[in-house]
Amino acid sequence: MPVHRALLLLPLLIFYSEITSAQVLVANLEVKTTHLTLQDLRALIGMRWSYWPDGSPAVIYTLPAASTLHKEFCREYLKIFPYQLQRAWDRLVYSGIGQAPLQLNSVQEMKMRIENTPGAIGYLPKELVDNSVQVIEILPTK
Amino acid sequence: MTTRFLSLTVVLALTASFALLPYSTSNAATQWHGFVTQGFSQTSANQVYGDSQGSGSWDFREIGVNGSHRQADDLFSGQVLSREAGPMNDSSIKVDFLLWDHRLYQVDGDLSGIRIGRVKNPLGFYNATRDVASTRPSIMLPQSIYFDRTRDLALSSDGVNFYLERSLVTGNLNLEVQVARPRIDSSKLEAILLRRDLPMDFQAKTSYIMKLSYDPAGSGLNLAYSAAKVNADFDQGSLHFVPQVFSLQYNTHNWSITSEYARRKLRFKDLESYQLVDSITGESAYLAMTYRFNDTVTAILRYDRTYQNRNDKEGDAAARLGLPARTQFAKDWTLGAGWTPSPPWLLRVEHHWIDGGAWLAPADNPNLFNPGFDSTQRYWRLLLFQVSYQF
Repeated sequence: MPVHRALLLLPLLIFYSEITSAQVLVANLEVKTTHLTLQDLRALIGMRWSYWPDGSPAVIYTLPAASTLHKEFCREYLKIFPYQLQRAWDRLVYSGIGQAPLQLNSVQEMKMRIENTPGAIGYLPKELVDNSVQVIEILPTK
Repeated sequence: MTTRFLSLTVVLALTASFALLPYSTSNAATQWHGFVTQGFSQTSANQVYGDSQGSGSWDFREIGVNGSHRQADDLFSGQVLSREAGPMNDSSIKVDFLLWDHRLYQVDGDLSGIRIGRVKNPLGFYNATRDVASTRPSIMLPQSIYFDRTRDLALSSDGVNFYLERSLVTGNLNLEVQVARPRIDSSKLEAILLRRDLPMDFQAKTSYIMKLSYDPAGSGLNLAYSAAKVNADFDQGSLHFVPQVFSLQYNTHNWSITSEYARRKLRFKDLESYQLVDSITGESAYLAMTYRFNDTVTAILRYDRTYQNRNDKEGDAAARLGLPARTQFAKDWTLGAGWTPSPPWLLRVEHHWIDGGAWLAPADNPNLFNPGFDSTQRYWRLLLFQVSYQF
């Protein structure tokens, strides 16, 4: 293939490399917190925090345990195993000391819910992240 | 009387809060969950969950409904359960827990609060959720620590639980302190703890539980220490049950290794006329290894050992008093497997090879402490099967 034609493929290669299941932690635009420590994130996703530091209610959305995005989110962001997270949620629900997060069926639904629900937090594949949601950064451990 | 008043207050608060819920498209505030479990047991000797010898018993069923409502700093939650387990539980609907959890503060990942009502007892890793199949590591919890025959007493009690969680750089620290009145069925307990009926009434008194847990960050480890002091008065005399449980778990992607060790001290006061003096300390320990083949299949291997009296491990002293020695110990090897074909379903099977009858239930084996009529055997096997649906 002539070189100039091959170069046309380059943007395509970059595009493909971005469609790996890299996930991003996102929240509703009205959420005032922009940075979380790992402990804070674990407390949020682990359903121990019922509201954000500013006092507004926190709404946590997740995907089913079998979803690749969920598994990678557990590994990359929370640094625990999905079964440990599920165990933690079950323990809260069945001893009556907490609730389970809301489980959604697709990334499209996740995006729509985070856009429209004040206080919402969840995760999306990189390619679905745009200006309708805010990206939450994780601070290095204090 | 005070705790009954508190429970009533919580019931009223829960009902009122549900009634006053604003109609809303967001379902974040109110949640419903539930589970249905059906089990099968078969034994080579002795009875577990009904008439398990011969072709086995299907008399095991758990049906539970769980609801919760969160509003800012308050969580109202409750669970009702109908449990049938041979003659031990009669499938009547009982309130497992019903509580109001009020968050006192939440700052920088540290939080604390108070729970009032019927609260789950925080003992060991599994007591607080023992009635839900998916939260158990196997069909039957290690009986050396989580005796099924005293499950109702152990499950929950009526009172107040104060909790504190601290998020340290090195890990998470969790403390619970509970002051509550146990749910005691007098005659059942007398038979189990004392091996007979005493001609006196038995009254539960205010009891105490504490649990301290620590999860070192990034280690895969969970550590916990729990202890309780359960008090009961007779017309004359009293008894005090003081269990202590040390718990440790190590988790990797495919493996979990769990071990718990317990000392169970039963102290008698002013009961000399019934030949109950000083104290008896029981001792229990288990080591379990769980392997996750993938997201849907797991296997477990466990060795579980209990002694009713750590000073009489062979049961010789008991035998001299007329109780069969085998009622004083139990050594149990368990091999099991579980499969989740799709998330709400869980299927499990497990086999136990057991030496001793320390955790057999008098309800299942009526002549357990009556050597002349007792037909239990020292060496026996138990096969269990369970199907569970959870939503």
